[in-house]
Amino acid sequence: MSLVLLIARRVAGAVSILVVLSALIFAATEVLPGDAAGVLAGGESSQADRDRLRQDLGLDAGLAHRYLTWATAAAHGDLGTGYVGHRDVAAVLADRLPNSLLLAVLAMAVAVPAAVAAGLAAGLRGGRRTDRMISTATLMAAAVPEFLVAAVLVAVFATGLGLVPEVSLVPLGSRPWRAPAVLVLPAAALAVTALAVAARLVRASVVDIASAPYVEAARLRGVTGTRLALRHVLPNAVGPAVQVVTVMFAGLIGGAVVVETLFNYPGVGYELQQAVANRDVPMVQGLALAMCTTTLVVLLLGDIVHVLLSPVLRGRS
Amino acid sequence: MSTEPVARVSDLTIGPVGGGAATVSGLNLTVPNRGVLALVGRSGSGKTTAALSLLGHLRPGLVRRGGAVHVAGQDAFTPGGAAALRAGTVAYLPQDAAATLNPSRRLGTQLAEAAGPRSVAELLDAVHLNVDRGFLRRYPHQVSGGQAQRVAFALALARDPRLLVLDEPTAGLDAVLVRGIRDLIAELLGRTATVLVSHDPELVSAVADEVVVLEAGRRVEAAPPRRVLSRTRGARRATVSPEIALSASGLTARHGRTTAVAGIDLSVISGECLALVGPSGSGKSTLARCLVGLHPYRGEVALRGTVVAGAAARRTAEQRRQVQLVAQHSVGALNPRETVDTALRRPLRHLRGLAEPAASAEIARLLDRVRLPSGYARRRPGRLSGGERQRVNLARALAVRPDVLLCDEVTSALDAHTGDAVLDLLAELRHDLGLTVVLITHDLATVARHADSVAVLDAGRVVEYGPVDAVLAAPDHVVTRALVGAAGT
Amino acid sequence: MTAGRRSPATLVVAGFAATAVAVVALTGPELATGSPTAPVGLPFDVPSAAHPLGTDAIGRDVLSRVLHGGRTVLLLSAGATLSAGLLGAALGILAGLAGTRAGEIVVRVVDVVAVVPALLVLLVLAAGLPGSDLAVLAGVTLVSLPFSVRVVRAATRSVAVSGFVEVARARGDSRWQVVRHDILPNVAGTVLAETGVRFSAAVHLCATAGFLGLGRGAPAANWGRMVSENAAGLSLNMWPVLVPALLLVVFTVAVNLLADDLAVRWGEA
Repeated sequence: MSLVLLIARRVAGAVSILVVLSALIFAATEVLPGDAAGVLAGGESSQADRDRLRQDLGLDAGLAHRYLTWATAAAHGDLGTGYVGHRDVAAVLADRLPNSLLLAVLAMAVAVPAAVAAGLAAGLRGGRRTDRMISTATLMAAAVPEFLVAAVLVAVFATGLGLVPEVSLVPLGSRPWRAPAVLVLPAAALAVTALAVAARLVRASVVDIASAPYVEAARLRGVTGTRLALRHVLPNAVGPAVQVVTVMFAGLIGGAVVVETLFNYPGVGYELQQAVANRDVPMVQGLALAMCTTTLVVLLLGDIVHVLLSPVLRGRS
Repeated sequence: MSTEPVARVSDLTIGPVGGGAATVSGLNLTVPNRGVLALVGRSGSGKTTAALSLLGHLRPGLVRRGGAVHVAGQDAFTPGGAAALRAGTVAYLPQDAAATLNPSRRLGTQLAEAAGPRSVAELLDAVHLNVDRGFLRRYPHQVSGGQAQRVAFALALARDPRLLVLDEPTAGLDAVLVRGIRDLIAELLGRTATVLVSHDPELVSAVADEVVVLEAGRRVEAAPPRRVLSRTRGARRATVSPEIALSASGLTARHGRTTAVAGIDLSVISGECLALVGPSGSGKSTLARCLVGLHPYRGEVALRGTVVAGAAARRTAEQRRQVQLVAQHSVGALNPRETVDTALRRPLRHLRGLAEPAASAEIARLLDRVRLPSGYARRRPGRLSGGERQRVNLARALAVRPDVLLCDEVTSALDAHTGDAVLDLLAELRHDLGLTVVLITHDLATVARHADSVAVLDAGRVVEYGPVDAVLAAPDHVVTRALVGAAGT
Repeated sequence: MTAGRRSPATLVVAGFAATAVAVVALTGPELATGSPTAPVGLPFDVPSAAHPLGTDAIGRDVLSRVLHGGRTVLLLSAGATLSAGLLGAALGILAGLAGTRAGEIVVRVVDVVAVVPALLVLLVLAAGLPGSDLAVLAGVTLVSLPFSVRVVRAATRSVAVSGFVEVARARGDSRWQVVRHDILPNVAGTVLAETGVRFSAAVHLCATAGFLGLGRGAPAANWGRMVSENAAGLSLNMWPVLVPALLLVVFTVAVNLLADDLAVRWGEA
């Protein structure tokens, strides 16, 4: 099967998963459709008011009908209007997404090299002290929920040492990178967990490869140290490495919600959490769909890069 | 040419890091400068550990407790000595030679890197690989198993080592590949000293100049010569009209898209032993599983003349009782979480409806039949040796009083001595109980000793069939001839 | 090759710590003397004799809230782990025994959920069922399901091709008999190990869900939510943030250490 066909199949698969997910998101959030009208109309409204509002919003149509309306609009880039403040969902997304991406990129810039280094060190010295120390440290760091990691960082660096601001007070309309100090703690908090998880994955792959017969054979042919790592181990680590990075990125999306909420950072995660708290259903739907799409795109890209870089997979297809 | 031995192992003891029984204990070995020294013994006897020590290598978890290894004047267990040895004096090839090729690097790159003073073309020539330039650009998974094997050999021989260590080079391979390896080894004899670790007695007898036997890490005197068994024929030779215990007609089966068994016709006379042989992939195991009802097939299978349903689940209990399968790997054939007692009780309960106290009595009788002490009933498979597990396997098959036993490679996971014992037991049972046996094996020596007729399979078809003496003496088909040639010397 | 076994001392300490926190969480409400919801003083009062941990953002007794706040997290995690385990085992065994194609389909269906980041699933469910602990339970169950199904299916498949299973099938043992005698005992170890891993992930998620305000809301006490409720007054009284945080950290780390060791042991078994 040619490469183009392979990629086309993967893309088709991703799109179909996205469609299924959109339906699931819609169904999950519209479990109690009537309440939307109730929320908007307010507690004091009469039944008649609510019914009229329901009709106006098109909430009296069937679930399937409403889903199709929403989905087709979304496919054209129209994600509707939020209940709270009548904000255009797509506009909010466009505004907040760059902030979240910035945070994610910063976190990965720190976490990826550190994870690779730690994972390699631990994996190549498997079973010995370095490995045990790194493994235990990463296990513990990965175990602690992100909000606690962030809370500790705030307590120590912000409240305690006063080095950085506690909350990301970004003036309305401005961008976080104009006030870089607000980026430090959130990115650090994200990086810690991402690093811990990724380092463990890298270590596992390195151990796998290092114990492969061809590595032992190379060792017994006299190849050692750096040459062994670079020429014999690394080429086989590409596949696992790509996987680690994509998993890491997908994980950052979840971590971002927590960190942005804790720091009041103006990103997509923060908006999502607010939307859930306010029962702003269209906002939740739109943002959730956007996050799923991002995850799928990242996974798809990782998949494709993996196939492109791996001789074995290319040969088989 | 010096007559000094190329390697000397003195009083070597190696054991696990945390303490425990030594893997190799007080081993003394002298490897002559030329020729092949074979290290034989059961699995777990310390052969691989001893072989790796010639390169100063210890598998993770092992530590040298005493003794020394000197190869070509170097102490293998000093860092400098080990490095010097690995740089080209000693070469090592593990069991699956092809797995030593890095899957992400082209063959040409790997050969060039290892080549050193000689050229890649010379290397390939030495292992008789006539290839074009395109070959060098391929990756290991893009060439055949045999070719990958030879490339691995070429890599090992690249620096003209003085000592070559081969660890189980033929284990798990079919006859044709085995023959290729044997020829390769024979050719190398003049050029380098070789230590051959193997529990393949035919390979050892074919190439070894000296044989050292290891048992539980110690060197022992060579085992007594194998008994030449008298032919054990089924007592029930056809008197009036032979009854057909099991027959297949037009049997066809597939594995996914490939045809594994293609229109096979077969009859097994009651009381006889039919051997099914053929290279790996010829469909022997699939055929066995079809006969027992574990694999879907087209065509007919008949037991004592009555056609049975295709799937075991749709056959009657009586029909299921008549044919029993004794599986290949004794480890996987028994449930590790079940005691021997439970393993035997289940068939007694399900197919013979036995309850206490009849069941326990029968279990005791069965264990006795297979020459196992009655106390073994309480053991789990983990506490049994390979040969003992295979006996329990047999006992379980016999529990339902079958007419036909299908034995699929029952000794291929055992060393020769234990395997012989199991086959002897089988012959005895056949004689005493009047069983019909279908023996699937790749070992023609077994066929010669135990079978009455033999059917040779190739690519899912029977290509030759007849009495054992006739077929082995004058093989007709090319596959049969290849098998006979690979076996005998 | 693994990271080498943890020393027994480490495991004992971890076990002890996890048990201690679990006891506090589960029996706390019985041990508490004060009310977790009634204001008893000024917000963020420092510790006193009457209130050893001071008061929180609304003036409630912190100690009482701490004693009441663990039950939800623990019960939700345990509940989700159990239901995902049962469901996953059932689906996994079915998928493992079915043909390769059918099994793949089951895995793929379940994997659709695996694509979505865990917190997103919880948030979306919470949007549909606000203030519901059940939604959190369902969410965590759903999120852990793909992992469970995969592991059980893989274990089942590797057992299902064993000789002894084939012998049982050839003998005509019913599907249920084969599952009961041959499959289950041999996958139990793997299932146990993956349960440990899933439990630690579930605790992680439930604590985070509490922090984000999902599940039963104010005024119920919840360790995760206490961290977010009282963060503003960190400089005035740190205990309402520190104590629940510490309890959660100790518990998650201890459970992870134990689960990891369990997974390693069964991997080698």
